[in-house]
Amino acid sequence: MRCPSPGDLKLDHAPELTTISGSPSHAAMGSPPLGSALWMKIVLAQGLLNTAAQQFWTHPDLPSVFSPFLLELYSMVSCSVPLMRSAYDRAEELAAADPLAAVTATYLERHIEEESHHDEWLLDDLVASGMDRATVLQRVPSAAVARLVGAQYCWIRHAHPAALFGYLAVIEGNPPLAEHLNEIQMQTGYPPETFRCLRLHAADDIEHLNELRSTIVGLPLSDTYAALIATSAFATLQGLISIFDDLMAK
Amino acid sequence: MSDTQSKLQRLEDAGVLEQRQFTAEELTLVATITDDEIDVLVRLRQKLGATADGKNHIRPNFVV
Repeated sequence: MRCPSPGDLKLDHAPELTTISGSPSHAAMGSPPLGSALWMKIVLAQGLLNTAAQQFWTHPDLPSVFSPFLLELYSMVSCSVPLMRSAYDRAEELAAADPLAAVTATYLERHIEEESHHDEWLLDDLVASGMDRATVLQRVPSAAVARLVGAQYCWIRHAHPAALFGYLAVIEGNPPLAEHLNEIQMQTGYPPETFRCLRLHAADDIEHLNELRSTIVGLPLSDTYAALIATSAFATLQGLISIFDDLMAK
Repeated sequence: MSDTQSKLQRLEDAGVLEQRQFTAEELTLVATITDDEIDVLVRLRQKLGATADGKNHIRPNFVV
């Protein structure tokens, strides 16, 4: 049984929080800060995703499931920037009268820049693994990826774009590690060029994670929106587990 | 057993967390979790079944 290890995910001391309505903050009332409490829920989700990863990456026939994994990953990554742009656009619409939306827009504007073109890099890596570029481009996202990403569009449009923080925190919460990527490369026999995009994230995502954590901890949250982001995080966890399940069932 | 202890114990019994890996401050924050949220995590943990102890460096490798 694997459980979350907070490790370097220890909480920074949260800044003083105010609610959207301007009512006294939870910290001022003696309750735990909403952003910090939310982050701990995300840590639990990240831990369960790590448990799911143990099952997948110790699959007895890893070479046979790795190629489909790359295709699912490509679908997710190619959806990411358009998804963040949608959340950014909605946050911008709300920002003038909504501090949470304003923080969301500021964060996403920077993060969209950071994540741009990663789909192209990953596509190059898939081609390096032997896949046909046109075939990858023509492939439609699976139902599991559509459920994962589609839920975010629903919350962005019909609840609040800050919901996307739950999605990002779970996906970026356990960045790839070079040691693990080396093992996968050895077990699958794929060339080093297949792993360029993943290795880039192994190097970069610690910074992204720290930035994301401090942003979430400092969000000007109401109870409602803290619960929304937690729901988004748990749905993302469920969606990623489903993707692993589907891959292992093939 | 307090409500806080009850929630943490339920999470621990289900294999969602090990309390010894968290500081007292962090456990206080974890205990703000609602019963509905605990239900979701416990169901997902049960779905994963008896996952064997793995290696700490294994990661999901999903990226944005």
